[in-house]
Amino acid sequence: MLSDLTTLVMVITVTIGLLYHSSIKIKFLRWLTIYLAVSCLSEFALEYIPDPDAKLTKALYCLMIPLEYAIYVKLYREAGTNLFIKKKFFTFSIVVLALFGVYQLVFNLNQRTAATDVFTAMGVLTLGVVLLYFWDILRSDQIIILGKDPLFWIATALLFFYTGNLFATGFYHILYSRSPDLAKKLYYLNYILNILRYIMYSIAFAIAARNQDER
Amino acid sequence: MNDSGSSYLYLLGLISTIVFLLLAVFIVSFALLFQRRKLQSLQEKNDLKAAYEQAILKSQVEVQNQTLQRIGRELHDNIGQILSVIKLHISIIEESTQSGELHEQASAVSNLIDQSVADIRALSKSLDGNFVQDFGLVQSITHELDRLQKTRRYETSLQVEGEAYSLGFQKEIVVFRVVQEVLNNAIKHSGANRISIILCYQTDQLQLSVQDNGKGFDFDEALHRELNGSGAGLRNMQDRIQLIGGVCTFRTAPGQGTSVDLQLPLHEQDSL
Repeated sequence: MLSDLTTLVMVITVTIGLLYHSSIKIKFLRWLTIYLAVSCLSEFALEYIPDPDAKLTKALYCLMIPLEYAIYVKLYREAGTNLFIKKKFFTFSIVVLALFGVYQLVFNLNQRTAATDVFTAMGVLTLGVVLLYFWDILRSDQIIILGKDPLFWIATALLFFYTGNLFATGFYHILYSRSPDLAKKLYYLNYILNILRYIMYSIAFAIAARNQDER
Repeated sequence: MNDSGSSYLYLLGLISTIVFLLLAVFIVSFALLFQRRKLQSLQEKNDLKAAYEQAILKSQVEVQNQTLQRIGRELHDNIGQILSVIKLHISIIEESTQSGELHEQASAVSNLIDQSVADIRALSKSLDGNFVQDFGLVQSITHELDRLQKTRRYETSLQVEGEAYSLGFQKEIVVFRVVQEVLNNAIKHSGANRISIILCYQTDQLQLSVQDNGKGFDFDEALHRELNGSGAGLRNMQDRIQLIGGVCTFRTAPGQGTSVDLQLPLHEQDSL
């Protein structure tokens, strides 16, 4: 039930993103709409492709998660004024995460946590990017009306999603091996946070398109 | 691991997640609050700056009024009196010489003195703010145009549309001084020979337009000249009209004359 609702919200978000795609001026936000569309299609495809060991699912996540992270880094690197976020560190971290994803794909695909580990690594790194964005807001002399800044909505979505998910997803496999029911219960949080994330993405896309119209 | 171990793990995960989520809420709320404070602070700073600028402008207008009034009074009471005494002496000479060249010259000087006294009286009225208070904006502007007309170098016209009402002395004196400055600019720089003023009294606003058929000018270029250049004068006029809640617009281009339009809403809040 909650899973279906999450899928529905995701589809709505992808539709909104694609509808506004041409009106969005921020390049990497446009890329995000495309990424979400591809991600959504992949999710649907996985429903119909037989994948008994979930290897295909894990492989797909191992490859797509670094790509998603790269989009976020580029998005905030281009918009932010924070010198740290502009440094090579974050570009380097994309490469490291991509290599980690490939490593998991090649050597650890049999393990249940193959994709989760990549997800957790991405979560920590994304939180770093997002926190630097918030630090930038506090430090900057510039006055931004946050409600009208699409990057704020994306950052808030990512902050809630990854702070909430680090433990919910990180603990999932350990807890699942001991008590599947409790693990599933904890995993509900993932759905709720995903719904919240997609709603905020939709708002960000709409705001980005409206900002462009106003120009 | 037994059930209690699993429950412990579950609780740990749940509590950690809740703590982290609360931290996220705190970060976002803090950023929002911080930006709002920054916005408020900027707003207050801007308000203070605007209030300070308005106070300066207001005192400038007051000083200008007082100075002009004093000059007007001096002209009327002092120079006017001296001319009257000269006129008296000339009259004595005129009477003592019944005919001849001296009599004619005395008579010509007497006429010139009459004209000078009249001009000084007119100028004194023009400088005196009380004239605006006593007779209103339309009469004051009519008086200004009459003065120009008398020089025979300008053809002037005044058109009043709608039923005239008072904007109040404070506003009218500012409008009147701006009109005087526009006329003065037209005389000094435009090379115009026709000046017309249209006053349009509407229910919600007064529209006043001063037009000349002079050589016009590049408004943007003039506005961006040095502060002590003509740009300052134009800006100052706009500021003064803004001070009373109105808008002052210049429509001009080289070779196309100049039109200065004032829009003065009736119920606009102003600082005067």
